[in-house]
Amino acid sequence: MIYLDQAATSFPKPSEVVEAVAHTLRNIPGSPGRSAHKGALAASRVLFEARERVAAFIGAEDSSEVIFTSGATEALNIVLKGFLKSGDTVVATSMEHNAVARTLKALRQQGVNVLYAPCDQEGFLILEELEKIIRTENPKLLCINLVSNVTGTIQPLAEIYPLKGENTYLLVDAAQAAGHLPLEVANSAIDFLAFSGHKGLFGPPGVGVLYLRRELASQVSPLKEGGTGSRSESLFQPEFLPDRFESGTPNLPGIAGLAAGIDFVEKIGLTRLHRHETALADIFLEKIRDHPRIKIYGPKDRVRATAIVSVNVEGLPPSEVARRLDIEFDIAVRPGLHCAPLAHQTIGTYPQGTVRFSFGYFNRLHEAEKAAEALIKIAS
Amino acid sequence: MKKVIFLFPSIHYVLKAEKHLKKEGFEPEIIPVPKELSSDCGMALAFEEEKAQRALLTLPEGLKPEKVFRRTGQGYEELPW
Repeated sequence: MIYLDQAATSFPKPSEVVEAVAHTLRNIPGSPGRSAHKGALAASRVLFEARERVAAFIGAEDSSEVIFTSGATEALNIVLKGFLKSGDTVVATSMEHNAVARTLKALRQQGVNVLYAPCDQEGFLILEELEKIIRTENPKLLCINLVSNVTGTIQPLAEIYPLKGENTYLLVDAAQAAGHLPLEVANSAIDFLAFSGHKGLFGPPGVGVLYLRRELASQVSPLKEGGTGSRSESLFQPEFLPDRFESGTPNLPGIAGLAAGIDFVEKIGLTRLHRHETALADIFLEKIRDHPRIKIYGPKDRVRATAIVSVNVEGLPPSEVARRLDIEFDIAVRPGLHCAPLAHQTIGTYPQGTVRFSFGYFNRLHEAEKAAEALIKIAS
Repeated sequence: MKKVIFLFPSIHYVLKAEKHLKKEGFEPEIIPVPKELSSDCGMALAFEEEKAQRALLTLPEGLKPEKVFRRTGQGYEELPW
């Protein structure tokens, strides 16, 4: 199979990741922080070292600011539901994924004022509009979808920072950015950063990360309370990090796999990874560009996009194109709305959606070429 | 037996302090928190008495122990610091 659904989850996983997951399952008895025997201590060390690994990767000075979650969705839910109270205003982009959009819909029913800053047809925030909304609404939180899972559009974070007022905190959804673009929280305006472990970072599914600034932790209510292994005599959730947000036995195999995935990413190098993936997308685009029945969405200047390409074939629903790619050509893609109806409304493809091709480090040149040829055959 | 015991909020801080101190040439021992000191089931760092003071000074703010105890013949006494 030619797997071009890398934006859903990366495949295959590097053998280092598989080994790290297997190692914890085979050799680490016990639950981190839950007892004092040698196995529990070994488990605690795996968790601690993974946390330090993630912190170094995103440039966090203090690894206790790194919270392990079940994925980017949970990380985003923690911030949105824990930080926003009734009467607060939040501004998000019109390219949001449902991880944010549905959460905000639920919060709107609880009295949170939810506003969307418009993006253009390529998915880029219209910065003048954003500035106007921030100035007139003075939101408590600005939520930015850094890379669109529909079009690969990269929002210009550096240009957004100066627009953010002093009273506005910044949440960055980096689900499609981590492992593709450099993420640096130190000396940035980022207050909260959410990302998944199983996409660009090559970890297994079921693990993600929330970074949050230490000084904001007390203003964020935990999404869940429960056992942390610490302060067991108290019926109140611990205030300190990371325990405040990490109740229940952690997904240690997944976390170890994520740390190994980050090692892999750093071994290859982010620049090389990104160049490989985007080169494949460029070659694919080059071949299909002039076809009269294929429409391409997203940034025209591909330097401002990751290796995610959304297209449509005139006269064919996306699901039919995807079905034929799968059945006739053994090519895996993702059709439809990609859990991002707002993004599709923004780029003008709602409600039918698009066919999304997403390329990864383990894809090869001939796969990109075959995908283009297959799409052309279907369109012709 | 190492006599001075540092207690931290959770295992994360125990391991963070251990890592920091090892880099500085200390050799702390990780021990279960004695049940007389806390109802918790966690871990603590233990030091030889003559090294404990320097270890305390070496740890940066944010990594200082919550409490410090010394093992005596009868039990434990809390050390003010």
